[in-house]
Amino acid sequence: MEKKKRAGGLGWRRKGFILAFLAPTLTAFAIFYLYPIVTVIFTSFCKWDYTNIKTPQFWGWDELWDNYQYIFQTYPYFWEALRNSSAWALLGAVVQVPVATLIALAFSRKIKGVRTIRNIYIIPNMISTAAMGMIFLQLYSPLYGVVNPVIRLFNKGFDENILLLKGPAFWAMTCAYIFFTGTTTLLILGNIMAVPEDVREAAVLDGADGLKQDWYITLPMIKGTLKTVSVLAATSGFLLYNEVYFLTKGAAGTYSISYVIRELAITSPRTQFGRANTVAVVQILAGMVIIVLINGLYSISWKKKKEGCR
Amino acid sequence: MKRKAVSLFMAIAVGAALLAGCGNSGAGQATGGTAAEEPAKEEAAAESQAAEAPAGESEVLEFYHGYYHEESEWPAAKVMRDIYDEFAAAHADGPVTFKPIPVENRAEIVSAQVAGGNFPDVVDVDTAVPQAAISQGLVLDLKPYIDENGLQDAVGINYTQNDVDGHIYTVHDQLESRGMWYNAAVLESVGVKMEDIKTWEDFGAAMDKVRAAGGENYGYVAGQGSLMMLNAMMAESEEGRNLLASELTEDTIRSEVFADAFKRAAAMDQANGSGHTTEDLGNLMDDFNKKGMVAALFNGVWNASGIDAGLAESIRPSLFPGDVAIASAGGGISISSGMSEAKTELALEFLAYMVSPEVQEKIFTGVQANPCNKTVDLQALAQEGEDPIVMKLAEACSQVNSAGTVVIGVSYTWGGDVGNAIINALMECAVSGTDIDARFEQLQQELIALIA
Repeated sequence: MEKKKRAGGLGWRRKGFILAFLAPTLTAFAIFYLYPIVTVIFTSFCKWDYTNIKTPQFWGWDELWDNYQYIFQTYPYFWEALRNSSAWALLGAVVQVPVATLIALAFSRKIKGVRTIRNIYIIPNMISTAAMGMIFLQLYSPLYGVVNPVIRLFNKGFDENILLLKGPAFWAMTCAYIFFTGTTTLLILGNIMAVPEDVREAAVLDGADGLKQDWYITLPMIKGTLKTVSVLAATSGFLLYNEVYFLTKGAAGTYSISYVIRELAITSPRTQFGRANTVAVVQILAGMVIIVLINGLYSISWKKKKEGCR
Repeated sequence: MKRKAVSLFMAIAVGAALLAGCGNSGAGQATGGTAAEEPAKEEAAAESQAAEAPAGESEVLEFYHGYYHEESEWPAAKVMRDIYDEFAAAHADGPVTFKPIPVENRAEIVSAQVAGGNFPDVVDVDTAVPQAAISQGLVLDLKPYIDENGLQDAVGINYTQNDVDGHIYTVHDQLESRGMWYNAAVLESVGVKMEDIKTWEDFGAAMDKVRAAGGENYGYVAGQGSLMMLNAMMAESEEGRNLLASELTEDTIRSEVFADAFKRAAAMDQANGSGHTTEDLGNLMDDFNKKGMVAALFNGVWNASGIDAGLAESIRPSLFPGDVAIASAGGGISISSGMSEAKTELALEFLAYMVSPEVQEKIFTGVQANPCNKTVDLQALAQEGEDPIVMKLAEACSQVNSAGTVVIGVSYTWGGDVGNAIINALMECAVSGTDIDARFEQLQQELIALIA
């Protein structure tokens, strides 16, 4: 009985310590994440603009969806922005991650000079996205860039600004960010390097070498990391802002969700915080959907793979 | 026991670190980061400094401005900082000290403060004072001070353009004056004299000739500049001028004047080609100022300082066709209404200092901008210095100041988001084959939605 009591007392102390250690993180989470998220959600149901900037005013139950109605039905750039941001999220997951994985696999090979190449590869990733935007602006310049001369090889006399052509402008912007996979590559490479050597050796003995080993051994062992980087790539694609700002400012159908939020909250003289937060709610929800979808897709695909192996 | 002690020690350490982190923002600011990089920290530090200042110590009047650039990057920024520093030095021993703070993101700082029901002590606002700040009564009405001290001429166009229902909430010490810059050599090479360009039809015909001549030269830099073209085209009629001076309404969007100006500008842009179109004039400015391969540039009077010495002879300022200039006072010095009497007094003194002839002359010669003070004799100043750039600037400023028609820039009255939407529509029209009528209809829908 006494033993039980002591164990219980120790349990509470332990809980106390756990709480004490968690408290800073929980406090920071509540202040810096939870509170803003709750505020964003609440104020998306409020009239909050230049007329009542100090006191957001709840629309009331009858007009509860007023901001959402404006954003979904009236605001001219929302659907375009949502479509673009979703596409960039998808491309982040299905293009950026495979490209980064292939590069990481290549970098994991024990070849002479691979370390130097790895370092060189990382350099462009240290350039800020804003500076990268300016660099791509020059690349796409019809007067001085390298892209138009390449197009002219197939289409003589082409002298348009590619950033002003609907369709091509979207892809030009995609190219300005999607191949910069430095961080993703490093994360994947770190995990590839952590695959135990004896597992590799066993695979070689079983006849799995080279690409076969990558496919059946390495990739399944780093699936957790692949899932994480897919979420990161998709969300950063969804949040794309700098490229839009520096390359097109939304022209030729290239608005993004983040850009639209700034337009409503800062650029508009009407300081439409309520409506901007409505778009932000969509952004938060979309982020959650992205995480759930990627988790779902990974669990389905790996389950199938396991079943296939059996 | 040992484990317990270690755990207890660690818990205390984590707690102490958290508390130290929360309470150390001011101290952290003092050791790291520049004002330009960390305005929020600056502000927090200054606030805590003011709050903690013992009774009897001087108060601090903070002034946010956008001249953060290195001297090598933009010499004018240093001139402005020197002007501010002189004022600060003159009041270093007073009951209130003046602290200029250079920042990159004035709009965001003002927006964030206004959202919290505050306003910076003094700020040189980026484009305009947010209506949200005015509606909350956060900004001081400067009109009584201007009237009492007879500063009407000193604040110049601010007195009328920045009048909001009988109140003036901002005074810009320099005007955003825009007109045309022509390269007379390029025009003459195709048989056009810039003096002969009197109407937009003349302008279009001249650009056609430049294009027809082929080669590297081209007509003008479209995109951001095209908004000025539309602005100036609307200014040709009385109705257009009235629409430009008032808030954007559905009637304006559906007006013939607006449609006509947009379609004329778009047609010219399409003929000029999307290859010469950019959302930021700066991207192609060197083609005009340094390489001399562009016939015309829509830009402000400040373009004088960017012209290459070798092209100084051929590049000359002019008004928009139709004797039109765009001059916007825009946002400038704005003062918080919620300060102590001593701080407000110093802030108003700073305003008077900035529009004084001495400072205005420095703004003209050093910053190479059009000063707001009407009493400054620009031509005389230019001749005193004999600097060719200043003389060109004086010529441009004089033209704008004496233009037959002077109108405000559309972005100031219609809003930055509306301005962006129009620029985007014009840029898309620059692509050959774009249906201008259809794009205009789409723009109308966009604008109606934006003002909803």
